[in-house]
Amino acid sequence: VTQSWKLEDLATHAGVSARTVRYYVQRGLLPAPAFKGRDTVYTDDHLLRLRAIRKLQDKFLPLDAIQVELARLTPAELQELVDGTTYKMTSYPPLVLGESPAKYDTGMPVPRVDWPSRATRTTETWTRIALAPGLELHLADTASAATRELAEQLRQSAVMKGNRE
Amino acid sequence: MSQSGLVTTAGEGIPLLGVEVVAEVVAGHSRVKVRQRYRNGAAKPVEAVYVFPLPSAATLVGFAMTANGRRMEGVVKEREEAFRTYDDAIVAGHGAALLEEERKNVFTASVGNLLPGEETLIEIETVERVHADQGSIRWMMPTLVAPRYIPGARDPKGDRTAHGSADPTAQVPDADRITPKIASVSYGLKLDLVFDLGAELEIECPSHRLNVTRVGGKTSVAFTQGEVALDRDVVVIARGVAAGPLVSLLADEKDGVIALSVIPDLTMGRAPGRQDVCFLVDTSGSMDGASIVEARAALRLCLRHLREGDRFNIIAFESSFRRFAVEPVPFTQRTLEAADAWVQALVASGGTELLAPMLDAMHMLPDGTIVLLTDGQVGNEDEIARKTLAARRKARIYTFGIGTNVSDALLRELSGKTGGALEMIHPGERIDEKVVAQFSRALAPRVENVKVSWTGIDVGELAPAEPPVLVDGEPWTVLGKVNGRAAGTAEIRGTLDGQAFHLAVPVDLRETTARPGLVKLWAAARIADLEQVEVTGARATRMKERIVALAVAHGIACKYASFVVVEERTGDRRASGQPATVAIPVNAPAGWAMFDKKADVDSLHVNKVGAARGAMQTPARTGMPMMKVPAPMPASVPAQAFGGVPGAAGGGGPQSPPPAPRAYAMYSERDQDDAPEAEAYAAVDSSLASGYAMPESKPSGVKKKLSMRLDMPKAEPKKAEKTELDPIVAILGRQLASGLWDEPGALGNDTNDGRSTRATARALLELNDLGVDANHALHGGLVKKAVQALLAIVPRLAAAEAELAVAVCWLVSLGGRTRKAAEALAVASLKPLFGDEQALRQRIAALI
Repeated sequence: VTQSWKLEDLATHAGVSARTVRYYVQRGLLPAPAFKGRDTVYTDDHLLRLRAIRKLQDKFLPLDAIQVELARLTPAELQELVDGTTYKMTSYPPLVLGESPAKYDTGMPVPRVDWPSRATRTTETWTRIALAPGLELHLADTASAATRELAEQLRQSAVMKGNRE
Repeated sequence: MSQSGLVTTAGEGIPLLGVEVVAEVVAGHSRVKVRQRYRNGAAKPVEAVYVFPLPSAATLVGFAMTANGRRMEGVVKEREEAFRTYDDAIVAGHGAALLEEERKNVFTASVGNLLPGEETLIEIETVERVHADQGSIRWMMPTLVAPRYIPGARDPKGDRTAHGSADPTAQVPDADRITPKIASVSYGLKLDLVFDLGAELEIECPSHRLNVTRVGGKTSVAFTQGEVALDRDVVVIARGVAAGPLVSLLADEKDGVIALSVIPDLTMGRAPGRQDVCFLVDTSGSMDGASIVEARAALRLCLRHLREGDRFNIIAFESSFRRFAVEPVPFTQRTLEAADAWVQALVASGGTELLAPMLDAMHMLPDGTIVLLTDGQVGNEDEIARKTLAARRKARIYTFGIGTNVSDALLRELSGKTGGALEMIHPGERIDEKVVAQFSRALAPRVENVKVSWTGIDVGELAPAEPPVLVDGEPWTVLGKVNGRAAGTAEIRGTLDGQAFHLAVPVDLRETTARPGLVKLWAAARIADLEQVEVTGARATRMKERIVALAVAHGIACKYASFVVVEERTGDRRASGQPATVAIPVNAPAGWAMFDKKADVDSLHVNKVGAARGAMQTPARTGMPMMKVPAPMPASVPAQAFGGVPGAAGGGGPQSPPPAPRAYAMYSERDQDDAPEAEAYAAVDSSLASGYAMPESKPSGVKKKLSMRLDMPKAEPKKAEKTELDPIVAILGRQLASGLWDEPGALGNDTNDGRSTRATARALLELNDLGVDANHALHGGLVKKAVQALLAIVPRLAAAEAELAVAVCWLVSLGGRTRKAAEALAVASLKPLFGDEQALRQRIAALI
């Protein structure tokens, strides 16, 4: 028997705001709630997906990639992901700087992805990011949002490591 | 999974057809209706989300939706409750609209279940107080929420709630709510603006071409083109507004509210002595283009309003900031020239980290005057205002909002809460008027620690609760709740020059000008007061409840209360399923250089999403050098750097080459040798190019003090900026710090009293021919400064030069006191000529 939730309760249980739930529905990360009688009704499936989104965010996945994952995984796999048991993330190929996003194509429809178009660029500028003494990261200004995300994570972990030392 | 989701923002299928602004300006206020027309061209129901601007001083008093031929008025509810009402209605297939305040000048309209083929009209009504300043009223309407700088790294814990182009950051948790995406949009703007001010008005518009029609006492204004792009502020200036009474009393009898306005005459107060001024100039990417040119010009004019003995400094900021000098320096000819050259070399690029330089300025001059020149495009307004006000002792902040799209909310707050003032400069507007207005305010006598008490009448709950300072000649207003209709007195007390100040204003409530709706302005002012109170925990909750109660009771929206309207639908009109949500994109702002080159809009967006910092940087600029090159010392730059105007005495010298771009030298007294190379302090931006910058623990853009010798870079004259100066500004632009003029080419320490007397006399006579004398509304102050400087050196001058100086001073200074001073210094042969202007002019011509 699936429980039905009111928006506020669902949001509280999932640890997000009601507005974020609504944003995910608008964006297509969550299915639309049903309308029964006078009330909007969300289900356990919504809660499961909200928790899965949080888990995937903890793995630094951007929302576009999360959307792909949510569409790919079966309810059972989603549950495993949330429980932290046997779930394995899609094995992405190693990120290559400036690589075309086609490599991440899992065959699932992605409604909205803002990849930069290389065709619009004539020059490419590389930024050097010093991660630690003797270690540098080079990032092209044409790199995708996901790549920049990754670069930022690397930088932050380097900073954190540096702070500990 | 149901097939819902975001429709792309590619220009097709945008359900916003157009925006119309209908406004009326009457004595004292402006009432504006913004109408947004929506039409769903898709086959399925759509929800539109439109992030749009309103003037930050406007109070939102009405919201209505017209659908299917029926107009429904919105109601105000607590913000989350309003959201739930809206959301429930949308999910249930009804029609609904929601209006939320994101910032004082940024709002979100959500309009839901737009049915295929159906048109829906949303109307937003605002009221704003308007004061005529020297007979002119400046009416302004922003048209787009421009890209703004979002400081901080993306917050992995920050969940999105909206479709903006920026992700939430720790510093701006709602960044996604205030950053509408940029696209080329098809919807336009219409204007129907009426000035009902009786007088024959002169209409000026620096932003658009207008058609002006006059019927009866009303002046109507519309765009010549009919419809224009929403890409720049609409600025309309009405001149020739009849001066209002010095004291006015408006009343809203139904609700028992009065507004008392006073234009105080405080001329008995002494003007303050020496001033310490720190200029803060925004050189971020959003200022690139027309704005930085305006900012440089305004800054150079500001500098010329300093007096010898004043101290000043300049801070230029973007992702990092740099000082002109280590400490505030005395205003002298030498520092003026150095500052001119420094300002001339400013270029715009990078983020807008305003907080650190603002705190630096506050730390430098906690009791001084801070002049901020910016477009205000930042996302962390609250943080900046809070920390700046906390660091302040008595400093006042005067702000210039510069550009085609200015975010005025922060500027208004900073200046309003420090007793300063805001002036907006749209490209094409006269800068000199605004600079003069700001400096005369900064120097004007003022009454502080103002308290208002009432005798004979029962007035309470004043708003603002802490009355603003009284500044000579500036309109001052308080609103209050009133009981009964008696006559009495308002007693305004405070301190003027450290002395007790007392002003008694007779208030007769039986003779007021009726102004229904005043209660909404009162409630808005009360809410602004309460929002300012810093409380935490349970007290914060109670404070929020008080604010919501005020907003709901008076039907006005604010940060914590939104307008919502629901159209209950049945039968065919009731939709089923989640509507597709369309976030309405906005135009690229006009005049912003970052959008000039074939507007690579997507990459800006990607940069903002991906980059933690430097969100405003365009890709073209990410390859900037990692270290800024110090400039040659400005001492070698001639004074004509100001505008590069040919000498008035027919000099016409070559325009002095500005230092190489992106070169920022720090002024230092030690570096005054005329050597072609010099030692300089360079502000080194050690942050990395594209925005993956310093660890958060360090302030952005840590500066290293570098000591280096370098070769003077080959002067590479930049393309002459087309700042066409009028001849008056050109002459004044060459006035030296002392107040005198000198021959073109004569520099710094090479002073010669005789030569500068003749140059000053010539300049003053030219100004006189152009109609500028000591009583000139705008430039009289600079003429007076010259006269005083000239009279001061008379004792040192040779006889003929002394006579020339005295004669010219007498001629251009119409005031009795200065003329008496001149007469006292005059030689016997000159005295008979006073009173015979023609003879005096002949004598001057002979002497010069």
